[in-house]
Amino acid sequence: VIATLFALAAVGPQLTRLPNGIPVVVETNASATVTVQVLVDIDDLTPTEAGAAEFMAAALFGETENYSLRELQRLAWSIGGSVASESAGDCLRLQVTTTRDRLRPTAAFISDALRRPSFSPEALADARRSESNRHNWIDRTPPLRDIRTQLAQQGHGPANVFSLNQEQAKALHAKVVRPERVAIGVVGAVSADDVATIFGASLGHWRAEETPRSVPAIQTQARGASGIYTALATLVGPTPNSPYFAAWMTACIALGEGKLGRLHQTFRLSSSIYVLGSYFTFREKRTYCTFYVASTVDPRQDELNKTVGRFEPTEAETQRAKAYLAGRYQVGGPTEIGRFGAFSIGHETEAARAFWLAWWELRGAGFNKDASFLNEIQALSHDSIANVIREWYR
Amino acid sequence: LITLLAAVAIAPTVVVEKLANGATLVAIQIADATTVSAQTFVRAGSAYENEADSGVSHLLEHLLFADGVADQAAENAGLLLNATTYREFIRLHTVGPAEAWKPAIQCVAQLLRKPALTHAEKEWKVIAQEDALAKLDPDESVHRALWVAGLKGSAWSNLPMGDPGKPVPKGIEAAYDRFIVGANVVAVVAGAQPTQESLAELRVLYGNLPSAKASAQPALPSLGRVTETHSARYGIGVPVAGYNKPSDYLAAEIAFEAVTSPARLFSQGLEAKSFLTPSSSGSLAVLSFAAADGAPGMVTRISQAIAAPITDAEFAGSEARVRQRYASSQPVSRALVAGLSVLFTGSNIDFDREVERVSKAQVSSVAESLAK
Repeated sequence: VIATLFALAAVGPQLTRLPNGIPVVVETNASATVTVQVLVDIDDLTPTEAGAAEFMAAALFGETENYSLRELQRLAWSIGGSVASESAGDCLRLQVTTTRDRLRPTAAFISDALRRPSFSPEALADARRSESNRHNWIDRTPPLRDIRTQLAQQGHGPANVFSLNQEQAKALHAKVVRPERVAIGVVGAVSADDVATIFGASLGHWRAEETPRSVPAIQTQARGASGIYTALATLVGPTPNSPYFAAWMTACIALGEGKLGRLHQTFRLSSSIYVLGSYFTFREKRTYCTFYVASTVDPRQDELNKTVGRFEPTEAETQRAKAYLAGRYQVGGPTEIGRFGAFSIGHETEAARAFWLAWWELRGAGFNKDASFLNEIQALSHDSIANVIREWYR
Repeated sequence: LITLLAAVAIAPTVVVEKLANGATLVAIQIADATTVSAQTFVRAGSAYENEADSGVSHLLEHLLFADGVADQAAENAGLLLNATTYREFIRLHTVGPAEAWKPAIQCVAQLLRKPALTHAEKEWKVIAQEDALAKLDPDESVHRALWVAGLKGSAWSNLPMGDPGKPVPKGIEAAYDRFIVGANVVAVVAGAQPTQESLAELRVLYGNLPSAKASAQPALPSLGRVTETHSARYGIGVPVAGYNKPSDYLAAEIAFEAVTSPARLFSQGLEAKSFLTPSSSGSLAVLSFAAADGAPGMVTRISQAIAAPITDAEFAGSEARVRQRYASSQPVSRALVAGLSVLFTGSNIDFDREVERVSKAQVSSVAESLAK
């Protein structure tokens, strides 16, 4: 078994498709665990639907038709690893870490959570608690609250949804949680063939409803300003499967991330401003980068607009940004604020690697992009980055 | 068998070496690590301060970055460089791609070279913003309040952040000369790099630190059990062992896992956050509770969540989680645990083995003390 696992590890990630077309990317290694990431695409939803999808994610591991909430909790505990269901910005993310011998019940568990959530009053109440805690966290991470508010107003990010009833949740589920929106990444001590067999049995014959029912009106809740001064400037960019994506990301990093980034150099060094950076939002047709500068003393909007609008990086700045982006891609970070999106995750853990394999597949770039993205960053010339700025920043 | 072979395959090697100037070096080699972490711990922090120089360690930490040289070296190598000040130490740390292990060691060491300590006023303003934002977090506020209440009258109750409402702390030059000496420093690197090569690099970089006696740390007073409320957060502070009694410390960690398991919290509609910052001779472990529905009957609900005896299944599950935490092959976690072990006890504690020694009775004892 060990020899086989080592041999498969040398092959690299493999893509199989379940009978209903769901892509499953498997990276085999000889570790003691297996991590499964199931991603559900939500990059085309309206702000209200996206906010409701965040709420729904919290209820997916609630009660299902085959498991009671208590049973699910006991099963999760017995699996011994982490179990998570949450929004990762442009997708919902269901993660389960388990052992090789428990992969079959884990697949049944995931299948049940995806296909047959009951959205019982108890499950929805639990989701309400969980979402309330998450919104409390957002509220005490000041720029994030303001960033979310602005992105929702512009139509690029989720609105705040604090409650769904069963009818709303079921209708949204029928619209969003469908095989054609799903990609699965698996990393651990298991072969691609075994994964295809196990997940094929539980999810391979899943057919979504032909025409999703319309979603009843959902109430959103506006949140007040965070109580500090948050200046925001949002720029539009290409989607992750575009040939210009790596250059655009690098340009944004040159401006918004790191202590040698232009924002830090402009605001921290001259004005002692502590919280600043960039926040990426991946949508169906465009990517958005929101630069933020948060001050407890005074607003800095004009200064931020000028800094972003007139940005022309030097060669040293683009070189630094390339190294910085490559480092973050491997390690993750740097800030809690980026938690909700890709590019804050890194590649250190099996869970992170499983996420990326599925994410690139979901975004239409193909799972191999995960391996080639670093080379793509390294190969960028200063001129190619400068051209992207001219194309997208003005 | 697979678990055993996998564990053997990733078991890191740890080598500890002491230099003539008192600096301690720790090289951790982790086969297949894709990242590197260099972390340097300096004996300093709020427990070493008095009212007059409260906050000076944190200010010094900021000023070590002021010339930007270390940041430049770090970011051009794809590394993230940062620092945090606690009660007993300043932690300077970087993480990045495994192949950048030399720049990682170098940029952290660079921070200890005496910069012009001239931007104190400006950095104190930055710290004021850091403080204002930290206060927006109710869990952080409860944590702070508990430490102050639990350690009243001792230097240990000083906040590591300092008090930016007060004037800039005096004596920054003296603080640098007092803290940045070989005997106060533990330098760690963890990653895939060869042990002997990394030790050679560390010797060159840390061998020139001045020789002087290590800072004398005030004794930790006896800790009381305390409770605080803030913005509907309910906090409990309980004294637990430090790294000087690793088995007891781990028992506390396992107990915290058990009493904050999702099943227990869910049954009472609670959310909990635990702060178990390792310390040398003892620590105040903090649990902060909140409820999404506000706080009706919070004391009863918290009591019910934590008072039930720990079951065999809870013990096994919690112990497994803590075991996984210490068995992590991530360089950041390995470097942090090894660095603190050496800083607090003078040697590297084998936590993998210590976890196995923890009994259910030890864990239940900590949980019972929480419930009281």
